[in-house]
Amino acid sequence: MDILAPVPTGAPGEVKQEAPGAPYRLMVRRFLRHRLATVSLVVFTCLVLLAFVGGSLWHYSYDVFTPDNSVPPSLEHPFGTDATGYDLFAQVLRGTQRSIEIALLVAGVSGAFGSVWGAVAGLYGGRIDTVMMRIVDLVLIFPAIAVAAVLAGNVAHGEQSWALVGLVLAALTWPYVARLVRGLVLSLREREYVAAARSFGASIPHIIFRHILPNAMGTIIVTVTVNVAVAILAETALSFIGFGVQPPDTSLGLLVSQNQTAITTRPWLFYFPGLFIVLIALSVNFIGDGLRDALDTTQSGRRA
Amino acid sequence: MSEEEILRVEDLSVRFPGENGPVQAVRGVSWGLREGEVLGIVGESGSGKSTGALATIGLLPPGAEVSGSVRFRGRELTGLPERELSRVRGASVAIVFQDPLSSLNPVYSVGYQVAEAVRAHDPEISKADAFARAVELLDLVGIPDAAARAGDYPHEFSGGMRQRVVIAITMANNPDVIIADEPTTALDVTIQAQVLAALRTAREKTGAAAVLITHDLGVVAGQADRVMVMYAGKVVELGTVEDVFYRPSMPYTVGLLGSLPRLDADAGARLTPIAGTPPALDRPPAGCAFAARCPLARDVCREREPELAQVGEEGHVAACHFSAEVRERSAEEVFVPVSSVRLAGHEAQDVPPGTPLVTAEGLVKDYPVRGGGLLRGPVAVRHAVAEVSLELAAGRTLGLVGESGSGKSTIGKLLMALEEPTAGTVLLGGAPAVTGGRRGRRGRARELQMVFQDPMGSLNPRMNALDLIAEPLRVNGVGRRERRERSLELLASVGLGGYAGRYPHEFSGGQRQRIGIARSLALRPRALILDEPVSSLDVSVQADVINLLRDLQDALGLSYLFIAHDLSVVRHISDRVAVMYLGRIVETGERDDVFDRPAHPYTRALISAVPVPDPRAERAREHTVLRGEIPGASGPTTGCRFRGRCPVFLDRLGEAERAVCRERVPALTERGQGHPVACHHPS
Ligand code: SF4
Ligand code: SF4
Repeated sequence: MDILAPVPTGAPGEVKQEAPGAPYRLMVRRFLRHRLATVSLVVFTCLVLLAFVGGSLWHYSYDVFTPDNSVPPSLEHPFGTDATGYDLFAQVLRGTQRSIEIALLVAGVSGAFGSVWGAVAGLYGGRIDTVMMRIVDLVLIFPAIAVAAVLAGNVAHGEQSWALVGLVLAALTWPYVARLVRGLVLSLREREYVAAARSFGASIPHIIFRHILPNAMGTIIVTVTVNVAVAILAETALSFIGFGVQPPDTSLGLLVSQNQTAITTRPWLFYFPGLFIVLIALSVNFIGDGLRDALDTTQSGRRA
Repeated sequence: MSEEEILRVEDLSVRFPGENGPVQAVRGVSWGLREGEVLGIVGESGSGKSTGALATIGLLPPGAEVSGSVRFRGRELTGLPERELSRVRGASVAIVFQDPLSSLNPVYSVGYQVAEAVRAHDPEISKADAFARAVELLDLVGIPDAAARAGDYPHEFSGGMRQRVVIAITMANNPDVIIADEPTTALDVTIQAQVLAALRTAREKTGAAAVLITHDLGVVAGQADRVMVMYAGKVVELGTVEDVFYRPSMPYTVGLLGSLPRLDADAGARLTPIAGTPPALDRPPAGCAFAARCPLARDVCREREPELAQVGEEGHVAACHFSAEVRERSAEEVFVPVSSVRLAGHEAQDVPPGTPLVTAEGLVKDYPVRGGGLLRGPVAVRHAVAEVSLELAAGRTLGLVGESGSGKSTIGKLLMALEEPTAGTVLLGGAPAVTGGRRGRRGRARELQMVFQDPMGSLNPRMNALDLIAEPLRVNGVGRRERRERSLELLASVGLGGYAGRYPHEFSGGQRQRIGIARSLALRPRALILDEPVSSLDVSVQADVINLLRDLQDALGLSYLFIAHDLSVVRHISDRVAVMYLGRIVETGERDDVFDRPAHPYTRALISAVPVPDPRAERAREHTVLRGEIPGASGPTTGCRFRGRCPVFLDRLGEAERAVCRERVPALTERGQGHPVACHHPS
């Protein structure tokens, strides 16, 4: 049978003209409006390219000795060399690569695990929530760096030591994400669209993956981004005290640590890795700020 | 005439900075407020009605640019420094906002705050006298037991009571002008009636002129002397209420009046919605701002902006090139009922109209009330729903009305299995529905669907229209191809054919609700629960959604449970009506029986409190203003729960009859033709 319905009221100009297309395009526009974030994104992208691609193109490798010992920065060695003849530029590139890998691993694993943990706790509520959040509290009260040092010191040897360092850090940071996501879910699950989905008979995984997480994504991404910066610093600290990445592999933290004694005599050995740490941490933080503005859904949803 | 005017506004414009350049919220409006009169300003959201009025006294958010002239008793106010301006405001203007909390200080008792206002106005008066006067004023605005409650703090009062406290402060200020900005918008009708009565008292006692800003044409019809209609930042019509209501001369006014469902009118008449939405005010159109939605628009309308011009009666002005033509036509003649599109793919019910589809028997829902103590154990139960039985029949609409706290929305959730009933059963097509959890909801989803109140809130902002409508299908395992086809069909059937890829924020409120309705039809349910489906929409859009619901019902033989607080809408759309108070149905029956011959004292009061948008009728009606408010969990638990407010119980009954009300819960009792009432002493 045919059904009758009123003529479309959707004449051109009827649908709000502002922000055409998906909400994502609006987000990109908002992000680009944030100057520092845009610049930071460019800087960070360059750093990543330099570290991951540049390292293999550079004519020295981080683990081969060069004939030059302790030369200051020059065209041949842009960041100089250390006492044993390693080319610092190659080492910094390698260190940056490791540090970023670790940070992404930490942010990814803790973000994913923490989000699901928090979402499940918030959505089921009741006893499940109580038990899950007590576990979170338990992990949170561990003195993170000390535990990380002990754990990483015992397990992190050999080729894959960087990955183990990352996993240990992730195991200590996911509770922050879980807590945040749980709070978010508690408010999101009261939304009418969740009630609507329940009324169709939607399952809890469906609600989590179709409704809760997409809407929590903005906040999660911002948190995870900031976690990248935190993880870089944590890895640095861990390597600095000797429990992180083990030589012959290297990381920015390890470089700073190894070269701290040279600060007066060959300052470049200390300052270049330091500069990279600062650059990464700052740019990631600004990107986080920009994302926060861009993903703020309170601005994109306007009432009629 | 101008010397009688206390406030004169000339060519007032207000601009705000916006994302796409300046937003011209008010565009050159001129009006005057006469000594002692009430001027109603009406318009839909975004028409500039509040901004225009608040701008006259310099109350605007930072960033607003104001131009034009405002003279108060002959004195120019625009350009005055803020200090001067606030002195004028303090001495002569009082403002009642929609949210009374914004004007009350939470750390002082209400008595103190009213007394402060008294003292500010009369520095001679002693503190004790000022307080006594404050109590007097609180009593005047209808605060029960004013002397005892004067020591309470704002948070201890309900919204309606706070609004009355604000009005008491207004009176203490003895202003020349009262500006009331949507003073009753968030309130239930019986409370609205109390606040309007208090406002009237305040006006009569102080002799102030008033500007009443509201979207409710019924309130204007009853309260205002003159009315000004605003559209897209402009005044489009201005005149006495009778002129404007009985001889509207501008299509927008005609449309507004025609789109209102009426409590007092033949419910069969079709509403005349105004298609489209107002223009964006960061790009106001060159000609008539209404041209895009106006059925009478011609080329001249799009080129030249119509000026306000006298249209007949002295003082009645309208801005339309064809106002003479408009005056000769009725709303249906201007907004010719919309033609229809046809769409295949839906099946009508296979059951004859009137067949019971969903039956609820003895539904009860109790919520534990937690104590404030350390352990926070449940200390009591709140009966949200008590022994409610109802039946939804094919092709029919049951209207469920009640004020906040009546439990009407809880019933919707119980039927949808979004909440578990404490007791009672739901039958689908005669068989008991599976209860409990997701299986129960799945079973129900194919029979029964829900449309939610807030179309923005009930649509996931991260999904586009197509995905939104496809979601129930996806959840219920319909394959991708079929899902897509069916969703596109549904989208077209609610008139949004070309917009599958758009996201909720790109639609207007009415369009979003259309998406919500399309989604609710995806599983081809037999019955829909409509929980306040139009209450968040502007009237013209509301009419559009109501018409759509009617068309769908006619075409598909759907059964509706229409839950609403707005009696006019319920009367318009329902076949049967059930009135709820504190969790119980107190009266139910055929629509006209209930509305024309209400028997329960609460129903009578409720109906009398609804303002009708017809000045003469509204003024001639008898209004029962109920005392008190809907009690929360603290209300009486035995006997009739309405007795604290029941005018029959309080004023007319003898002691023996009262004892019955106090001791026995009145059961819904049939008294004649299908119109049971739960009252021991029905009229
Ligand atoms: S001027 Fe033209 S477009 Fe504007 S209201 Fe009048 S007839 Fe309609
Ligand atoms: S039962 Fe008594 S108190 Fe209740 S509504 Fe009837 S008359 Fe009023």
